[in-house]
This record gives sequence, C-alpha cells and structure tokens, in this order.
Amino acid sequence: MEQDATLVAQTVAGNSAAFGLLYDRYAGIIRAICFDETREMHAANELAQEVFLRAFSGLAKLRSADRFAPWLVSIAKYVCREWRRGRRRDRHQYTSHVPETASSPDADTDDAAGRLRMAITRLPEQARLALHSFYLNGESAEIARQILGLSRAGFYKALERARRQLAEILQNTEETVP
Amino acid sequence: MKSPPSDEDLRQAYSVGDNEHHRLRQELLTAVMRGDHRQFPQRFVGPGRKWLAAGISAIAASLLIAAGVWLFFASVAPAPAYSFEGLRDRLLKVRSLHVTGWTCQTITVDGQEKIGKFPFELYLERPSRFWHTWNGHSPDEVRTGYRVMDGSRQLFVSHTDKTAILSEASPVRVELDVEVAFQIQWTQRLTGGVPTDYRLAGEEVVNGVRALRYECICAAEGKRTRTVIWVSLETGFPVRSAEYLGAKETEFLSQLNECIETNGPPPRPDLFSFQSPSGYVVEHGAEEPGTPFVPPMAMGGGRESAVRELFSIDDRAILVCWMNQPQPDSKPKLPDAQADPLKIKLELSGGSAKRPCMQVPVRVQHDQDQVWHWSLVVPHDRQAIRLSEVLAVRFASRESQMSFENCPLHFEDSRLEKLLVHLQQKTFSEQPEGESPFTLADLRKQLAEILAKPVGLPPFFVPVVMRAPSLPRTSASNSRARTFPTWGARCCTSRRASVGRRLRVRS
Repeated sequence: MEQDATLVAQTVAGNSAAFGLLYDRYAGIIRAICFDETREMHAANELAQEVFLRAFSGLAKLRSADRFAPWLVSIAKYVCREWRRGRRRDRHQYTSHVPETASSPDADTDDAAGRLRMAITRLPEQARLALHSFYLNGESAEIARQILGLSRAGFYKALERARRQLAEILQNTEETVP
Repeated sequence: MKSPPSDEDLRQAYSVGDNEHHRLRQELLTAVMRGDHRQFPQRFVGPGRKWLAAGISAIAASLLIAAGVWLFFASVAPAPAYSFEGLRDRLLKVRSLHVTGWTCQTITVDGQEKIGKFPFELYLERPSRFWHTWNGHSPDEVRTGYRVMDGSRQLFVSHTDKTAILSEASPVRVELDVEVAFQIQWTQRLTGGVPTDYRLAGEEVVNGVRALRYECICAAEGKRTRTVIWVSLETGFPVRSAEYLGAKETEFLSQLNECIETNGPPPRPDLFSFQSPSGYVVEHGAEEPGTPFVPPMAMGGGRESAVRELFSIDDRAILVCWMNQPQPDSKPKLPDAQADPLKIKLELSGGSAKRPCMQVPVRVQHDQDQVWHWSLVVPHDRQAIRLSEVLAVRFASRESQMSFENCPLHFEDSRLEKLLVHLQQKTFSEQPEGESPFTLADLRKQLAEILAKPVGLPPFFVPVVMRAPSLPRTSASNSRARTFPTWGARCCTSRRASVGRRLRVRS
C-alpha cells in the first residue's frame, strides 16, 4: 500500500487517480465525522464531498504530506462547523438545490446498526474520532492514533473508554424506550 | 451494565452509507477535473497550527465586548447575504442570457451636456449566438444599431445610417466573444463587487418572480456606488439589477438591467434571421481569417504590446499569449537595445491578497512582423486560481510601462484541446516547420513539473528571456479600430501616454 505522502505528491503533480486512492482510504471516516454533525446521510455525503474538494484545493499547501489524515480530519471539523453556523444564520434555500431524495433519519435508524450508529453521534468528539478512525481504517491503530495525536497506548485507552461510554448510552436509550 | 458493542456490531454500524461510495467517488473526481474545488478559500487551520488557533481564540475572546457593541448596531442593519455567494458559479453554467434595460450616459446636445437614457438589449446563447444593441456618441449625434452573430455570419446594422453590413464570421471568434461576454463581462456586471459585501435587504416580487433583494454600497476614489440585485428564490439567478451613483442624498439610477432571463429561448423568433430592416442599404463585408484574433494593441515609448484571451488550465495556471516589441517605425532612444531589456511582472488580484506569479515559456509564434509568446502563468504559492481573480500582466522597459488585466476563460477539456490547436494553426500567419502545436496534455505535463518544484520567493520584475529573435519587419500600419471588450489595457511612457487599438492590413 502506498504511503499517504506518496499519493499526496502524485496528486499535486496532477495525477487525479492518486487522489481517488486517498478518497478510498479516508472517505469513510470523513463521512462519519460529517454524519455526526448532520445526523442525515445525504447531507453527510454532500459535506464529505466538500471536504475532499477543499482538501484537493489546498493540497499543495500541506506542509507535511505524511500528516494528510489529521489535516483532512481538521478540514472536516471546519466544514462541519461552517455547516452548523450556516444553518443557524441562513435559512434560504433554492428549490433547485434541495436534494431530490433526502434520506430519512428514521430509515437510517430502523435497524440495530442504525441505532448503534446514532448512539455513536452522542459520544464526545474524542471518543467518536477514536471509533471512526479505528473501525473505518481497517482497524489500524497506527493511522487512528495519528489522527487523534495520541501514542499507541493512549489511543487504545481512548478506544476502550469510547466503547464503555457507548455501552452506557445504549443502556440509557433502552431504559428510556418503553 | 450493558456490555460494550462487539467489533462486528460496530463494523455493521459503520457500513451505513458505504453503498454510495463508488458513485460519490466518481462524482468527486469529475468535480476535481472540472475544477469545482476552485470555489473554496483556504481558511481552515491545519492541525500543526494548534498554537495559532489557540492564539486566535484568545484574541477572539478579548474582542468579545467589542463584538457585543458591534452586534448591537448590526442588529438594526440588513442581514448579510450568505445565499448571494455562489451566484457567479451559477451564472457560469447557464446556457443563455437575455437582458433588457437602459443606461445613463452624458452626451452633448447643441453644445450643452446632459444625461441621456439609452435602452439596450442583449441575448447570448452558448456556444456561438450573440445579439446585442449598440449606441455610439459623436458631437450632437447619438448613433444606434444592433449586431448579431452566429457560428458563420455577422450582421452589423446602423439605424442612424440605415445601413447593414453582412459578413462572414469566424465560429471560433464568435465562440470566444460569447464566452468573454458570459464568463467575464456579464458575470461581473450582474455580480459586481465582492459577494460578502452584499447585504440582504428584503424580499420582493420582481418581474412576477419572488426574489431576495441584495444591496452593496462601495466607495472608490471618492465615488459612491450602490448596487441592488434581485435574486430569484426559485432558481438562484438574478432577475433584475440596478446601479445608483452619487452621494446618498443625491444618488441617481445610472444603469438598470430591468429584466434578466436565464436559460430561455431567443426573445423573438427572427432574432437570428440575419435579415436587415426594410429600406436599409445592405453591404457585404469580408474579414481575413486571422484578423479577428488580433487583440487591441497598446503603444508607447517606442514599443507595442498586446495580450490575447487567457485560458485557465485546471485552475492551476493561466495560458497567456502575449507580444511586446519595439514599434516598427520607432528609433531606439538608447544606443544599445540590450541596455533596455524587457521585464515582465505577473500578479493575480481579486482574491484575499495579491499573488505574484511566474511565467514559463511554452512556444513562440510569428504573425507577420510580430513575435507572440505562449506562456504558462503559475502563482508562486502554487495555489489554485479562484474565479474572482484577475491576472495583471505588466511589461516594463526603461522607456515604457504597459499593463493588461483580464480573467481567464474556462472551457471543458475536449473543447479547450481543440481551441488551442485551432488558435495556433489558424490565427498566425506563419507555422514553424517541423513543430507541431502544443496540446492540453503538453501543458499539463509542463504544469505538473512546475508544481512539483519547491515554492520559491517571488521576484518583483523578471527579465524576459526571448526564445526566438524577431523577424525582419515588413509592414505595419494602423488602419481601423475594432472594439474588443476583453482587455483593459493601460500604457504609460516617460514622455507621453497612448492607448491604441490596431489591426494590420494584410497585402
């Protein structure tokens, strides 16, 4: 598997296929971060696309190409913040821009996997990132710890804490549902 | 306490949304190739700059009180126009544009200056249909008419003289004119100013359409301009715009684009019939194939200079075709021509800050007595070129300084490929033997090499290294002027300033 830095260099040199590989590698985690914010898959997909477009736009400016993953996550957080602010301050929407088939949150949460996914959105940011970066990157602790800026041991502690917090959320959810 | 979810549960939870991955990937790569990423400013803070983010947060906190005061006053002002953003992008994608309205201009009648109101109409349709009214002024007379072009013909009608000149038109020239009008002139005219300067001023029904009203007030060089744009709530396109000039108490409406329609058919079925009005004298004109591509020429300080249309290459570079050389009939003021070398400065403006650029020679072509240089212009910071950015090309020698400003045109790859070859083969009088035209792939290869090099410090003025010597001069003369709306050319010299538009007469 090619290193991120190699793919970044190839993308900057004009090879869009290399960017496609970076997309394959990180689209999942970026979509997950966006979903945490939007709680709606269609909007999350749109935001994730924007994150990658922004990343492509600023790729040449990235100082350490091997830090691509944390950099991309920081863009995603930024875009989500922007989306949140945008929703607060501007409620105008053009009809041509309204998605034709927006996925319903209910449909997303119908099954157990959907309920678990929604429970993850209620975790603190660090815990969510630990789970996203681990389970969406082939359960590679190396990339995940880089994204979180933790040591390997520190990352495993964060992951364990996230799983425990998730169990608590799931238990509380079951208790409140009649 | 409930046990944590298993790895398998979590894998399943994260598989939600994976089924769209392939489609989204295709869409993203298409968007990247199309250049959609150019719309995004570089505002986010990278993870390596956390200390900077923390510093900014601290400053932000200390400004909280000031912000509170500002918010108090801002609450009585119109809301910012966030949905106005992206209007330029939307306009770049329309198929046709129809505008009617009027402008105010100062004219002299019987020796007295007065403000006249002149109606206008324009219809543009991609790829090569263009109809517009025109008016010109001479002492005590206002001349009016219209001009219509398609991919093969051009009809120039003067209502004042009751004449019509029908001539052949170069399809590529008309296509470029249409794109210049779409991408540069009318997009700027309808979205004048910076989007974030606009404020939402209300909602109204305009031309039967519910629209948001945006206003922007700017003052430059002591002149106040208030621009009002009504944007359709349904389509996101402007439906009317107006420009007011003067101080707040005495402002007057200087231009009204009363009805703006996008993606509609021609307003009248006979618009492109090329029939002159009855009773008009019809003449048949002819233009040499390469002539329409010669841009307006600036002259001064014994030199002449021009720049053709610019083309965006993947939003990373701009392809420029320029010439700057001694005028054929001028005598060098300096004993040694080498003592007055030509320097070139390239700069992008219109973004958050001015960005210096470098030029990389691509090809040299001769057109009779002129030497034209194709160059790739790349920002020194290697960042993408944004839609709002304008390239300024400044030539400096001891005797003269000339500058040109314009925006690059954007085309789909397949069209740009053909245009580049056509422009090289059909719009220059000479074709170098054994040298084939460069292609888009050649440019991309060259661009990739440039982008792979480390970012360096930008120089101020760079001496130009000519790749080919000038040909012996044969003939050149200023015979007639042709209006090209593309370039704003400025030229000043140490002794006198002149701006010229020139076409050569080929014998």
